[in-house]
Formats: sequence, C-alpha cells, structure tokens
Amino acid sequence: MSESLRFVSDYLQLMAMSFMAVVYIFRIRWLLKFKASRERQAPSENVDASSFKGIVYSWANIAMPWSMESTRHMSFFYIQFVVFHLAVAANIGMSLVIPYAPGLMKPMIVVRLLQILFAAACAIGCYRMFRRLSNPAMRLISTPDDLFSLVLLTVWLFASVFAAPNRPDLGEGPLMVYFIMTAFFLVYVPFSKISHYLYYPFTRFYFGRTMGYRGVYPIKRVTQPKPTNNKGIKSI
Amino acid sequence: MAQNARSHKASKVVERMGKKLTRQMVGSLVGCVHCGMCTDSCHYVLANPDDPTYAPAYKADQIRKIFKRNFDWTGKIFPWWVHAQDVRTDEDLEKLKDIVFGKCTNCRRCSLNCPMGVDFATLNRMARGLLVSVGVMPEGVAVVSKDQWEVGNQMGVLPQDYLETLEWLSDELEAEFKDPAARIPIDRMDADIVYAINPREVKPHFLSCGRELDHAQRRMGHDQFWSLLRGR
Repeated sequence: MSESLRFVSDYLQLMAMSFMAVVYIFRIRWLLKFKASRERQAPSENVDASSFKGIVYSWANIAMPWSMESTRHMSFFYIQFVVFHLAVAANIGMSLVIPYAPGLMKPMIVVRLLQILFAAACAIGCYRMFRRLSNPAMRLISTPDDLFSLVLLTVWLFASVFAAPNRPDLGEGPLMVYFIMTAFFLVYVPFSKISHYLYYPFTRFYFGRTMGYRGVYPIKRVTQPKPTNNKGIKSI
Repeated sequence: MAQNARSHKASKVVERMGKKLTRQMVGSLVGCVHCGMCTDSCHYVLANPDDPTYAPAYKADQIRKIFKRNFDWTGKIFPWWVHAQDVRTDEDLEKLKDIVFGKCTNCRRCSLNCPMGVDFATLNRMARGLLVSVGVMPEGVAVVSKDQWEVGNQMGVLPQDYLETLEWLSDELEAEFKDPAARIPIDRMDADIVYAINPREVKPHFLSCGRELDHAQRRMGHDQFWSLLRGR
C-alpha cells in the first residue's frame, strides 16, 4: 500500500469525520437553542394513547411500513428506501473496516454480498434521479442540494462496488477514488439534506409526542363495514 | 441591507417568525428531504392532479425558504443551493397568504404519511398567525374574526337581534301549528336537550332546524324537550 493510499484511507478519513462531528455538535446546539413547544389542549381521553406511546410509535414508524398509507400503498418505494439506506450504512462501515479491520472483508461471500447491495443501491439512486427529474411535483420541490446529494451518493455507491474487494495490489485507483469520495461525503453531509438522519429523532419525537397526546398515535386500524347492495340491511 | 429592502409588513413577519420558532417547528423546517411521499396524501393534490404547486412539500417550502434565508446557515450562505428566499414585498406576503390559507386545511394527512415526521400543519398555522399579525389574510376570515371579537359570534348577530329573531320565529311556529304553546324555549333549566346553535345556522338555517326540533318534540308528546341557549 502506498503512502498516498494510507493517508487517504486513514488520516484523511479521521480529519473528515472529526470535522463532521464538530459541525454536528454545533448543529444540535443550534437546534436545542429553540424552545420546546408545549401542548395547550387537554389530553385525549383515549386510554390506549399517551405521549410516551406516541413517541415510541413514531420512532418505530420507520420499521412499520404498514403504519403509513404512503408506504402501505407504495411498498416498492419502501423496499428501495430500505436497500438504499442499508447500502449507505454498509458503505460507511466499509470505509472503517478496510483501514482498521481488513480481515473482516477477507471472505469472498462478504465482498460479493456488499457488491450486490451497493450495485442495487446504485440502480435505485439512478431510478430516484429519473423520478426526481421526470415527475413535475418532484422537479418543482427539488433543490440543487437534493440533486447533488443524490448524484453524490449514487456515484459513491458505484465507486464502492469496485473498492469492496480491497485489492490495492491490483491497482490503487478504485480505493483512492472511494476514500477521497468518502472524505468529501463526510465533509459535505452536515451542510446538505443528507444530514436528515440527525434530525430524524427530533422530528419524530415531537410529532409522536403531539400525536400520542392527542390520541392519534398509536394508530389503530379499524375494519370498515362492507358496503351493502340494495338487498343489504345496512345503508349509510 | 437586506432588512432595509423589505416592506414594513415583510420585516415584521420575519422578525416575528424568529420569536415564534420552536424546536418542533425548526425540526420540521430542516428535516424535509423532498422525498415526495406526502404528495398523494393531500386531498388538494387529488382534486388538482395536474397542478404540482398543491404538493405539501412545495407548500411547506414557501415557508421554509423564508426560514432558510433568515435563520439557517446554508440558506444564509448559499441561498440558491437550498432554494432559500426572503420575503421582500407585500405582494410576496399575498402570495404566501394564498398558499397557507387557500391551499391547506391543516388536516395533517401529509404529516401522518411523512417518513420524517415533518409537521406541516404546525408550520402552516405559524405562517397564518404571522400573516394575520400584519393584517394579511383572506377577506372572509378578516370579517368573521372581527365579528367574533366584537359581537361574540362569527355571523355578527347581536344578542338583541337574536332574541327578536327567535320571537318572530316563535310567532310563525305558533301560527303554523295553531298552538299557543308552540314557542321556542330559551335558557330553560329543566330541558332534556340543550340546542347550542351553530353560529352559521342563526341566519340561514335556523327556521328549518327549529321546525324539525319542534316536530320531534310534538311527535314524542314530550314537553320540556329542548331549549336554546341565549349565551354568546
């Protein structure tokens, strides 16, 4: 391994991660500077609901695609979401495993599984870009940051497909590109929409608290009475 | 410099937004990833499928862009990168008014379908409050709000007018049923049912409501069946 590769895979990553952590600390401090809102109305009389239950339900929402109409009706979109985010998490993990615990990447099955995951996520990224540009509503709400973040992640996932084998002896190019992109990604993330995972616990906490307090969360699906025909007994 | 370029009303809106922001609102303002999952949940979108400006994320962005331009670092430094934009003129406020009052009912269906838990209704309510604080609101809302504050009900019916209306309605009922007991009871303490009238029904629908209740009372052969409240 050359000195250059050692630098970008180790020191550069540490510097980028430290920078990201510092910016995130400032960001959370900034968010906490705003006062927390209070409920002004009386709590719900629904005994099955409470603020606490609402918060737990809201946090668990991500793993319950049946809890939202949007994910219930767009299951393919939900699967894309899961694959894409798993791939990003695995990719971040890989950027730490390669320099500090390369032994974990030795089994070929691990490499192949990661490559399949990254390739699938890369394809999803391309599809999402197409959707963002072709759908009028999506095009209208998309900012340059949205588009750039998606392109950045998609290209980064593409690069990781070639970096996963971790074979600098066959050429350092793929690893160099991968680690430089990872460093850039870490520096850019706090300023982009990709940092939404930082806000996720806050937004879902407050939304869950409100909905639980008001008796909406946890949502209980009620079986709708079947409509009757002319001969039926019930009519609405 | 930027503040000087704003109209007086726009300056007040931005200034008051800073005071109104809570952690919940800020989370919702910075948390949107523009995934578009909310779009199909909005009944305005379903009713206007060809107009993308009804998408909840777009509507929220009209509030979000003001926040980003004035309170968020990325919007302050790179406004074009995140679509941050300030409100400058009264026309900008009028455009915002049309969206927050005319294109959303605060039903929260978009929030319930948002993977991030972005609470658009809270943002919309804040925007409505900010606009009302500088006198920018739909004319109908302004009129009924004024009546509510000054008279006590949104239809602007004075207590004396209300009682007099009931009086001549009673006369009509009495003539219709040819029964001197067919009167509309008011503030009767021993009534079984209290009919608290919807303010909108005082003018157009009261006669029919009163008749229906009186018919029901007569069919059941039950005196002291219902009473109206005089209270505002």
